[in-house]
Amino acid sequence: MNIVVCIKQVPASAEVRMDPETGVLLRDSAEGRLNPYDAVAIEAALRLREEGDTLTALAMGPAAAEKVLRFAWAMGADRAALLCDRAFAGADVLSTARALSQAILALGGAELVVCGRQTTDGDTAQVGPALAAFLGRPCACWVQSFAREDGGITVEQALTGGVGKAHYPLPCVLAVDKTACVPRAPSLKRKLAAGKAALETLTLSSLPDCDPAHYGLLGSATSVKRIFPPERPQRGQSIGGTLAEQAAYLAAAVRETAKEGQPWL
Amino acid sequence: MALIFDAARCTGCGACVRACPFGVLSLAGGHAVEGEGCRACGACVRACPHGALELPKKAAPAKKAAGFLVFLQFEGTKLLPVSLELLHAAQALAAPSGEPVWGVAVGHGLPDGAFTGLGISQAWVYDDPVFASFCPDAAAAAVCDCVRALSPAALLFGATPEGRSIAPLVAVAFETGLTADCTSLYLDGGLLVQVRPAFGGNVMAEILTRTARPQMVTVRPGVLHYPAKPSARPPRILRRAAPYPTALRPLGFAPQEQTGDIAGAKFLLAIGNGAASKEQVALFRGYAERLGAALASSRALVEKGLMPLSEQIGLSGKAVAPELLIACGISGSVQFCAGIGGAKRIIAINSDPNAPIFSAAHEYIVGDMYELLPALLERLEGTAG
Ligand SMILES: Cc1cc2nc3c(=O)[nH]c(=O)nc-3n(C[C@H](O)[C@H](O)[C@H](O)COP(=O)(O)OP(=O)(O)OC[C@H]3O[C@@H](n4cnc5c(N)ncnc54)[C@H](O)[C@@H]3O)c2cc1C
Repeated sequence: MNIVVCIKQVPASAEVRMDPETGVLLRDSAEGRLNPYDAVAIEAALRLREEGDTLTALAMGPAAAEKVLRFAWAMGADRAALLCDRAFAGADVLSTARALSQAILALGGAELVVCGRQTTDGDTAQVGPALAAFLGRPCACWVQSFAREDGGITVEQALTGGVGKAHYPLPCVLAVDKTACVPRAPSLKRKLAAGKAALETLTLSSLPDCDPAHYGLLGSATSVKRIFPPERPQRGQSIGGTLAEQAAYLAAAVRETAKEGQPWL
Repeated sequence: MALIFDAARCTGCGACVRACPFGVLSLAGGHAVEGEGCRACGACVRACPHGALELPKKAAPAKKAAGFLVFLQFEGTKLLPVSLELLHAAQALAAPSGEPVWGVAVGHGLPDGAFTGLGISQAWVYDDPVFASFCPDAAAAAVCDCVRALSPAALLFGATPEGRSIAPLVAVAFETGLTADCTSLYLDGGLLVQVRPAFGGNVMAEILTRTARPQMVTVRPGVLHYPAKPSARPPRILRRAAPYPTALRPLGFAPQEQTGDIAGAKFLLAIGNGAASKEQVALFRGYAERLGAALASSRALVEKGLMPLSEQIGLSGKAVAPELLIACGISGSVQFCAGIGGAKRIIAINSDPNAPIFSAAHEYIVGDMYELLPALLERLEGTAG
């Protein structure tokens, strides 16, 4: 069967500052890296792959994102495909999930799609389930453990108040948590060969639905009204004095809330 | 069958058969027919020169959307606090226009009494054995059913594992936006302004869903603090069965005791990058124990693997509401501060006189945490008895 793992290149540092005067965003570094959650997704997909299956790594992003696809290939993916077109720029969750679901169809479909729990830049954890909705199949989020059995995947999921266990029949989508497994280091041999591995490139015209109005900024349901530096309320009260005076102040505050049974009460 | 054929228009030209990327279509008796495996991609619809093919309509966007719908999440028959926080926010947002606030719930064996005193005009209750377990597909179908019936302007979910699994499914069904982890909400010209930290958090973004409806958001537990406006008037309760079955097979649930939960702690000692080694964290864990405080941290230490995620304060951790929070070596990022809005008293200790945490704190000390904490303990323990 076909397995697709969706991965993303994220900024190496998620920190962006804003010039309070000009409102211009200042990025500390433009370096990209594999979204750390996706390394776990690749590992999960490799473990779920059986004899005869094909595992394809899929990334949407600029040409530079081929780096993370080569890494996925080095870890053991059979194929790697980059979905790259200006038409996809500025996509929100809806439009990203639509593009990825269409790319999966263009790759010949997949019985199993594996995603990381979330990215470190967008941080929504919504693309996995949204993409599942576009494909019309169930999605297991917050996957802590997985096993392929009985025509599907048995998962344990971290839910409110405990861990739920369920069997998701194929076809389905999984969004795996960081704790689900430990990603392997690519073998030296594959690492060396990865540079020459053939990558497939998908563009808007490769997709079954290639209406540009459905993708990128145009296809997004949300738009940014404005961005602004966080408002800082008035500072609190400064506790000055000597170290001993400050310690005494803290001690008084602690005594007010201390739990009973403290030896110093 | 995913496609709608108009036999009167179909000439059997075969354009759709050639266009189908999945080989699902064929010609039979001079007409196109659909086989197994249609993905409703629409390639055939665009290829047909006669307009004989149509895709089934997506859930149509509500025409005159109005009102606020809140996803009410129950643990057994107990409403989660985050659902109440959302209701209070929705009531505050709806008050000026007088728009209704409704609740939608999925569950099994939910009594009518669970919906009184919430200040909602209607409760849509999908009570079905399937909802005894977590089945996101069936839950999303239920919420979609309710949205179709009510056409709300806005739909609010708690950012719990369940809410965050269901909300994206609903958002795609209505091809609408979904803004995750909002830290505040307000209305501007009838639009819901969805405020959240963006670009790593030193920037806030205001996000709008301009045309699609409902406008959807998730909000983390403990982040919104609107005053309660309870109402004794019981809501109209509409009981429905699950509109669709689930595809998955639930295999049980193992409850996990929440021991030493920082969200419920009365006294917290929180540390950040100021204690960025194993030894330093151990030192402060010792201090916390001697103080009778629960130890918590910023995400910086969780990312370094020095503290567990369960003890992280903030937007992607937990919102806390202690009587006293002593924050040491934490700079005070917006994400961290999103988790401490409920704290009654915050005292920040930081060596940087310009640390942003001083704006979130009620009181602050510019100083070295490695001097202040030992001095505090000496003061407490030295004067015991
Ligand atoms: C999508 C996203 C979600 C996030 N969610 C969260 C979240 O939920 N919670 C969270 O906390 N962060 C979150 N973050 C990270 C957040 O942006 C900050 O990076 C993080 O909070 C910084 O942690 P910190 O304050 O401990 O570290 P720093 O910013 O490095 O601050 C360390 C502070 O320690 C002080 N210090 C150092 N030594 C001493 C000393 N000896 N005595 C006193 N003070 C000292 C320094 O002056 C400094 O102010 C998130 C980020 C992103 C991108």
